[in-house]
Amino acid sequence: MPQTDRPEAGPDPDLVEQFVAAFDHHDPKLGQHYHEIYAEMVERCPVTWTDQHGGYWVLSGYAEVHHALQHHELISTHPSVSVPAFHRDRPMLPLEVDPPIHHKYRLLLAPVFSPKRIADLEDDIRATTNELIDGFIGRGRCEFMSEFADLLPVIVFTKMMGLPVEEMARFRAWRDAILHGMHEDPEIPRVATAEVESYVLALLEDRKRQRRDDILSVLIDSVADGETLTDQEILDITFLLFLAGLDTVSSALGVQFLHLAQHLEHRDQLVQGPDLIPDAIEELFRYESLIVGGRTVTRDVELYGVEMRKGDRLVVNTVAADRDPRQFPHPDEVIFDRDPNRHLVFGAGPHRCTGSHLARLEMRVVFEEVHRRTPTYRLEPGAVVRRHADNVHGIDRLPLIWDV
Amino acid sequence: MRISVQRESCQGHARCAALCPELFGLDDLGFALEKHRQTVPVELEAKARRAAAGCPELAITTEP
Repeated sequence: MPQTDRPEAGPDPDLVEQFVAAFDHHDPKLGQHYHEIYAEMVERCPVTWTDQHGGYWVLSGYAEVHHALQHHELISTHPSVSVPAFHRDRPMLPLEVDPPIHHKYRLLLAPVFSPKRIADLEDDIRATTNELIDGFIGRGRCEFMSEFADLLPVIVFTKMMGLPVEEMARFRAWRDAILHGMHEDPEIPRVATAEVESYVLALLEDRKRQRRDDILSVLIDSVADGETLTDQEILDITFLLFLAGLDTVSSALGVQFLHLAQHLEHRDQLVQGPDLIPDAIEELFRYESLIVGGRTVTRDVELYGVEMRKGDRLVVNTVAADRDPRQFPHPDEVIFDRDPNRHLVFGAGPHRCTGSHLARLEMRVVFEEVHRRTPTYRLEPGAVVRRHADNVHGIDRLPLIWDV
Repeated sequence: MRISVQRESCQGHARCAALCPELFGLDDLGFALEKHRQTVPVELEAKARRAAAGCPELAITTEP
């Protein structure tokens, strides 16, 4: 019998013990029960070591994760925010460098992603959202990931970057190859990365001849420390934007609508009270948090009760931390007006997600339109929804139906 | 009550401005600005506390 995402179908206790002893955020077996497994780790071993992927520390407790995020001088994003480290041999900018160099690049992006500038995109995001909904609303059913959640952020991003919207299928293919291709063959992300870089370099040449109202043009004219950016620096920034802006929002849409489609009383609260939407999104960011981020310890230091060595790899499990009962009373309950809610879906410290205002805007607009236009949406009976962990947690598909 | 934003700790989450727009604004890059130099009006004290508690960096203090 296909199983839906129901808490009563809990994980095999042996599986839980396996992950407590030898955590691996990329193990496909973690996917279906990651919340339950993380709850065990938060309680029993909020700081632990695993020998997987060459060995790394795993921080699951909120206090520890929060401290690590705020203390880049001890726990750094340089050289890679992935464990195991990403195949690319240059740091993505500005994420994989530390202050003060980090600050120089961050200031270039801040105006583009500022709350004021992002607010100007609302009408366009709403129009795109509604065009996508128009495509399936009459059918009374959709596969929400492939027909909506995977598309909207890519369309928005593509336009901001000044990439041609007609090429979207190519960008999604590259994104999938870079983010997920390594499971099939480590060459796949390498080849895709090279293709993305060639493509962006060609676009750069075009924008150098003629500027447009897009991020690439902004980057060409940006001045940092009195100098313009090199093509390589522009690539390092573009690559980060490409990776950071796509999977994340798609995943957030997936896991949040999965919850709502299975908890119709929450769906109905939003249909009847759209003013609740911003708070609901924040609580669902916490309850269905997304990121396990990679770090590197910068020096021999005792932290969180353990001896860490310079060069040790480490992950901050913000998904686990966002359900730590020491920080969030009743962590496994969705409480739309939970207060305070200092969740970590966008991180904290100097590397706080630059795209957070854009992400929140996309989420709010989608929530408004879906609850307005298809208020009776629910999970298709018998649907099989598979979760995955990895760096960005999420689901594979979300079959929804509604009354027409 | 008085509010104070520690600018060096502010990372531009903008939660304060979302939770209490009467007292917290944002500069052009999205970092927090206090809108009130004087004492917080009594009717806004609860919201001010909520905004301070909502800052992921704990960069806002309220006194008392």
